[in-house]
Amino acid sequence: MSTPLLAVTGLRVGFPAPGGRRLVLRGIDFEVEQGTVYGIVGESGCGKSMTAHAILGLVPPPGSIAGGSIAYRGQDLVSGHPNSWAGLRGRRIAMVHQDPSAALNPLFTVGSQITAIMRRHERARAREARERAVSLLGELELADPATLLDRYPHELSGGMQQRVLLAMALAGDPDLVIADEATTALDVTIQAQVLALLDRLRKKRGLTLVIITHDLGVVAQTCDRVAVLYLGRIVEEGDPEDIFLAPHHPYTRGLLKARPGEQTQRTPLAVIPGSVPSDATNIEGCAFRERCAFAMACCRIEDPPVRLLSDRHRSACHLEGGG
Amino acid sequence: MTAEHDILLDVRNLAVDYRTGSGILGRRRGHVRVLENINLRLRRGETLSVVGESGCGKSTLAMALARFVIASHGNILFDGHDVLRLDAAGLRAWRRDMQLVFQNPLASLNPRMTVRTIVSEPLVTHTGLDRGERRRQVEILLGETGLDPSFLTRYPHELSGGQAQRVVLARALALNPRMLVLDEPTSALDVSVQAQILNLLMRLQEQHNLTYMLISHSLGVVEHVSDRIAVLYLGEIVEEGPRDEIFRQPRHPYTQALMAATPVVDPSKRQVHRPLSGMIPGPASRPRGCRFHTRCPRAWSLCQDTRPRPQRVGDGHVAACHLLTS
Repeated sequence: MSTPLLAVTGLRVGFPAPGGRRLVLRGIDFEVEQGTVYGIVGESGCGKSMTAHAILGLVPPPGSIAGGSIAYRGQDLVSGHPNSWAGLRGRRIAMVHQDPSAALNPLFTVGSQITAIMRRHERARAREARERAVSLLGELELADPATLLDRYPHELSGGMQQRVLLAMALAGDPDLVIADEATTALDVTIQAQVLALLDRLRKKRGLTLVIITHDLGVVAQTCDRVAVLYLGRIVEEGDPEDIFLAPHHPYTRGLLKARPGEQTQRTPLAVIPGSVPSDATNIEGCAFRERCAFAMACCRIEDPPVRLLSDRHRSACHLEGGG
Repeated sequence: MTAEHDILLDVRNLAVDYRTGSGILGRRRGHVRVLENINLRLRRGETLSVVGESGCGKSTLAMALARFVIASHGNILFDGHDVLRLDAAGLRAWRRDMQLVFQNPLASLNPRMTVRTIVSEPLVTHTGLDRGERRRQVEILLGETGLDPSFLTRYPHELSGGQAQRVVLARALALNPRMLVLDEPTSALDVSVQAQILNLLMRLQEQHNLTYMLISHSLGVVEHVSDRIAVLYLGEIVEEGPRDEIFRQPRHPYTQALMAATPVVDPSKRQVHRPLSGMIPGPASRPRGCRFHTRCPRAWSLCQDTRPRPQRVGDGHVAACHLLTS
């Protein structure tokens, strides 16, 4: 097999805490093949955004990468030269953030924010950068791009702002775009537009996408591979058919059952009891066992290793078989 | 047919205007109509959901019901009394009977108060209970919403989102309301916590015979809890009817588009539909004719000039679209 575009192995990220270090990522492994869409789902505090930031070398201090590797085209960024990230960030790997109104600078026009990226990375001249920004906004299906460049973020709707953020991500002509809850703040009809647009861009530009979201529906609709994150670990990974139609890990099953909808009309929803612990560092055994309906004696003792259920489906649970 | 006495809340031809850009010296510049011709009836003990996207006026509707914004037109009849014409005492009673719950529970709680103070505040304002009675009452309320007494002395920052929403609900129930207006009550919560709160809401509704108006953009939540559904687009109800009819046979193109745009958790059913084109116009630039015609895949010349009137399309099911009359 060819080298994956992105290979994350044993990634650990920690923050200093009284009496030692608190791990927010506890050994993350996944690979993203070129041209595919990889989805990472999980609830608040599971480490989804931290994973995205770690890939870009942007773990906020005082946190730091405590172990593992992040290989882009086979080159490890963690052990490499500290500048190795600077050459990739925004150029080869770009990120789209969740809240466009917070990610855009309110004091600068849309045009100056997009062209700044081109001018920094490629030393493009002002006029050339502007022309490229116009064509980029056109590619993102924004009407009247030339006028749009002179407008300020507050003059745009949420959907337009999100497209501008996408334009900024694409300004450096990256291979890999990480979208961190990029459609969460949008209305559903606008979300559908942006997701369809992302898909067209992926095909046209040969982009590889990592989509990070809490929305299981978005993942089921868009991704080629799916990882479910719980407390800083991937508890289950597989193709969408595995995860959504034959989930194995009790947490994945609980998440799917907790979704309200057609099957559940006015009957009590299945609930995952309790809430996510704030810190998994000192939990012995499986971090999910306190909330798990299937917990056994061995779950207290040993954090379950990742088991292969099929060659593309793996789960970190002591339970046998497909449940 | 519904007997008149079954109706708890009857909203008739409600309209709300917002004033725009008061210039220097408070000179009025103009008005923007954010809700128009709203007709809704809630039966006792039922849940009516109002769905729609940003700017459709769903939160304004909640505000108008509470009289936090003044309706410019129409009537809101609660148990036969017009909420818009209540005197001060009547308004006080109305705000006891109808409680609001908002999206972000932490923003609804005073960070400097303990849970005990927060939940007992309505009892201090509205009842003559003494300190001991209030304390007992607060403990009962917390118990009903699934919080043990150890929470009494906590501050909001010590609560998770789900716990905070439980405190908000305990406070909302303190005065024995008859109706709750729930404005996106679970939107800020994770799926697993959302399920807990939805279960709690349904249990409380049964125990207290509460009537709910649920405002939500999540069709999954709406399908789960509602008896009836009203779909709002740019300040107008485009379709309203029983839950099953709306979900199985949506008649308005906007309702159909909303359903199609909601991602389903089944990778074998990848959507192939074309998403709606165009942005949602703001209330200040509402299109003439049918408000939806600028984005409607099936719009024709009539839609540009003439507003469609609500048509009866089924039992208790109305929709406003020219396609249904021709």
